[in-house]
Amino acid sequence: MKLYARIVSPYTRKVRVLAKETGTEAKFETFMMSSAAEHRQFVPPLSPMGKIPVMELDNGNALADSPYICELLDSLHNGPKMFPAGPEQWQVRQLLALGDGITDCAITATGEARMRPEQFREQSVIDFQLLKVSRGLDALEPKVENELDGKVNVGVIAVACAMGYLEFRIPDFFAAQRAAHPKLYAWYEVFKQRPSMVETAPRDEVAPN
Amino acid sequence: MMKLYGSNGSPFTRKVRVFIGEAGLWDRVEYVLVPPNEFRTVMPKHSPLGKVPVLELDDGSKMIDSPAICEYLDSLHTGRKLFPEDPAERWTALRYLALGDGICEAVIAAFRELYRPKDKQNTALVDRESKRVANCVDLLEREIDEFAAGPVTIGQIAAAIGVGHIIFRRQTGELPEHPALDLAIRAPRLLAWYEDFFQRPSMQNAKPEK
Repeated sequence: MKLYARIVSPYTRKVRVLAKETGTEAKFETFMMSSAAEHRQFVPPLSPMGKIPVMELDNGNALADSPYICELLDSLHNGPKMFPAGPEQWQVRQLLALGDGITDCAITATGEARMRPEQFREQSVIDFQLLKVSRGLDALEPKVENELDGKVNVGVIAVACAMGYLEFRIPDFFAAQRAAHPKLYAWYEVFKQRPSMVETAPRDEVAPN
Repeated sequence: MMKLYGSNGSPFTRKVRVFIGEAGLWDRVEYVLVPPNEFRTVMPKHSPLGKVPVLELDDGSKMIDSPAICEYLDSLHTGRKLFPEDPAERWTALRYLALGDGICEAVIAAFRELYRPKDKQNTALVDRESKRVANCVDLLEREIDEFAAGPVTIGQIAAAIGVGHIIFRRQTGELPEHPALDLAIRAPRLLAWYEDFFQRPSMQNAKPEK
């Protein structure tokens, strides 16, 4: 199998963190693209949605959407499951949806601010998406003790990657939200020290476009 | 009774409604329509990110994310599972689920663009998203024999919802007349499959509306 990846993509990071946490990295090859141009060149012929991460399966088909790629990798090892079974599974899936949902809104905001041609940008779009992000963080704060502290699962990883994306792309907003979410930020500062997080930390690509 | 909060224009809401019909769970879920003009005030009360659909469980807790909601509902019935249990069949179904949802996301991205002020509309983006939809349609057309075979799964439901959303937004004029999106020309077999699937009671009970 082959994972099409970019270091700036928080969804890619989630898959790679999960692979490192589950020891499944050797089950696939990683094609780390280094620009949007490479992305446009290599991904659409494989996957019609054109999004990453996408996993090229051994039969040549593409599996898109990071939660499904995570689930596939989780089926390939016998250690502690990142998608736990039993009643806890729904809580973890909700945490995953919340983490990814925050990332979705953050990416819409940064897309508007960075990628959209300047003459078409609207501040109201950015403000609305960041309002949703802050509501998402509000929803996470009371979950820290029971659902985040000391846990490693796909939901926790999704939240960590969402926080990492905010810190990377919207640092002023990230800093401004700290005071209202002390438990969440304290948890994140510890979790981001894990080798799986350190080794996948986002950085600007050599060629931004 | 559980409650499903959603809107009739939302394909993700429709997917869950069709799923409930196919799973035979309407005796346990009540559909609560959130009118478009109340959307921005009502939905944040149910979900921090303000998105539909939301499933309220009997204990009052709320679930977001249509794939997660569907899979939870699938755990509540003893009939044949719409998320296949066999691993190979499961990855196939999830692959089509991602494709169907991907079509909807791209249609929505193009549609939203047309609701911006005229001088802020980025026609290049509409074109890009329309092509993305067309690429997904091409793949479904190519693989129609594979994905339409066998009993109904979440993959078929999501694909039908995706195709239906293209047709719906073209009918309402909220999707540009992009030649890539004329399904009768581009994907005749997929369209024929969809028209047949659309006759299912689960689909008839969840038709798209503005």
